[in-house]
Amino acid sequence: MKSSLALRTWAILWKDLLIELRTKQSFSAMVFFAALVLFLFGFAIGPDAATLSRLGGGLLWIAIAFTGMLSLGRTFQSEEVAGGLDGLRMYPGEIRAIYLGKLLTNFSMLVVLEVVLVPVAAVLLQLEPWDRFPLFVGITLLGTFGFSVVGTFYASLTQHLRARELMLPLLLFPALVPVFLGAVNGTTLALAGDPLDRIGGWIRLLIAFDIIFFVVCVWIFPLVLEE
Amino acid sequence: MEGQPAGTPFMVAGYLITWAVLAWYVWRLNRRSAVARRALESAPATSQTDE
Amino acid sequence: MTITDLPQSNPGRARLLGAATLLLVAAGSAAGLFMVPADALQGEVQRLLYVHVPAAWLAMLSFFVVFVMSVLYLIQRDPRWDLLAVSAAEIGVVFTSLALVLGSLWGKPTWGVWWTWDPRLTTTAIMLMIYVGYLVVRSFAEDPEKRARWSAIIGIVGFVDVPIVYLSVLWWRTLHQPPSSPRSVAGEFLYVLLLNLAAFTLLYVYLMVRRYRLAVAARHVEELRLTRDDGRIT
Repeated sequence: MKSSLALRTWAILWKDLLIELRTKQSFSAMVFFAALVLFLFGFAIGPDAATLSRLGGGLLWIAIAFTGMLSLGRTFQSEEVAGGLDGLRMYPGEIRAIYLGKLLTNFSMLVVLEVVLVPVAAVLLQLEPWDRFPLFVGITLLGTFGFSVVGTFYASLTQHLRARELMLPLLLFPALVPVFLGAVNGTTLALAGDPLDRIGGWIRLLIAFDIIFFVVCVWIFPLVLEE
Repeated sequence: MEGQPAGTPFMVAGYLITWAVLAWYVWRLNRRSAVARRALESAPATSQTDE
Repeated sequence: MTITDLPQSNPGRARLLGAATLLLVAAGSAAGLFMVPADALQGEVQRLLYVHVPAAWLAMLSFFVVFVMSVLYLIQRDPRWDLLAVSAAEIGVVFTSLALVLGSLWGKPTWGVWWTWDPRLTTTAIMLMIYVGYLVVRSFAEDPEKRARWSAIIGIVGFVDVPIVYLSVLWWRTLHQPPSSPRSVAGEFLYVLLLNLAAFTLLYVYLMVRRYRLAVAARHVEELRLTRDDGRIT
């Protein structure tokens, strides 16, 4: 049973990543959208380097959150053609594999996006993440995982609603306030230095959020897809 | 105690808003209940004419 | 799954409850406005405590009720739990908004600003957004069973989220006001506050009874409409 869960999760992840690989355009569009958001911040805040780098952590995370929202909306779109989700649901075995597979797809997509976005942000916003790079990467991954956990869950819940493009951010952003606070403050401390050693609290908050919501979402997910 | 006289209008506004919101909500409940009741009373007739 | 076997409502008893509620809320407001002297430090504006704290209490109570009813619905799948949950969510949204407005009116003369990023205030605002989302999702879901199931899930996830939001905002704002608990309110002030808390709790019971009956009636109307439409299609 356990191995079937892992196998099914892997199969869904592999299928979705293959689809993404074959339609690279949508991913490059996402990257350009994120870069565009960073440009808009530059225009809104002005070219002052000190201000930009002081706000850098927050701006980077708003760009990730907005782009991630677009990416989440597409999570279950690939299943709409030819009733893909019903097909997935009818296979014997754990229905939770659908959630885990989609969660890992979203998480990997966002990580790939960040690999491109962080250097762009570092150049545009004059950020210096290289001094404490492992810390910066760790916080980014924890924040991205929390975003994907709740995001994939609410994407599956809103997929059949009318006006789902509006409903997903309306549900997701309030729920993600702890992730956002933890990621922004952690990133800012990792970028600008942490003389008072406050970064540990934010890392613990992100870990606690990730674990609590991973457990809750995995546990409740079968109720979302019930027919 | 400079702030004391300035605070009174805010306090009065707060009580007025509280009462207004409560009255408004009860009024809304009355109206929505009346609409639902009327729909229930007329519904069987409508469904028969449909068939 | 029908709810047509529900007992018919009794408007007479609700009217009696409404009259008692009106009396008690009026007495509470009168006591807060005229019976106790103004606060030595804050002056007249401190009288907002007697409506602000009860409103905030009902906000929290409502969302706890939404959580309990959502869990019960998912376990038993009885539509009545769902109708109780939506009633509590709507009343909760009303009192959360009221508590925010009253807090803002209190904050302006005391702190000089309409809004501070105080943990309780911020968490209350986020809670409002979570439960507005709950109500909007309901309005966008056509099928009654799916609507109940999905909103119950949102009710549970939202309730789990609220304490984490509070803690994260608390860490973010290391400087914060201590909450105004009954311990920091003494003597006759305390009795007036307790009177108002009792009045608002009775008000909550009254509004829940009224809103639940409306939800049952609306559900009947919806079912009639659904069966009628089914007949037309086939």
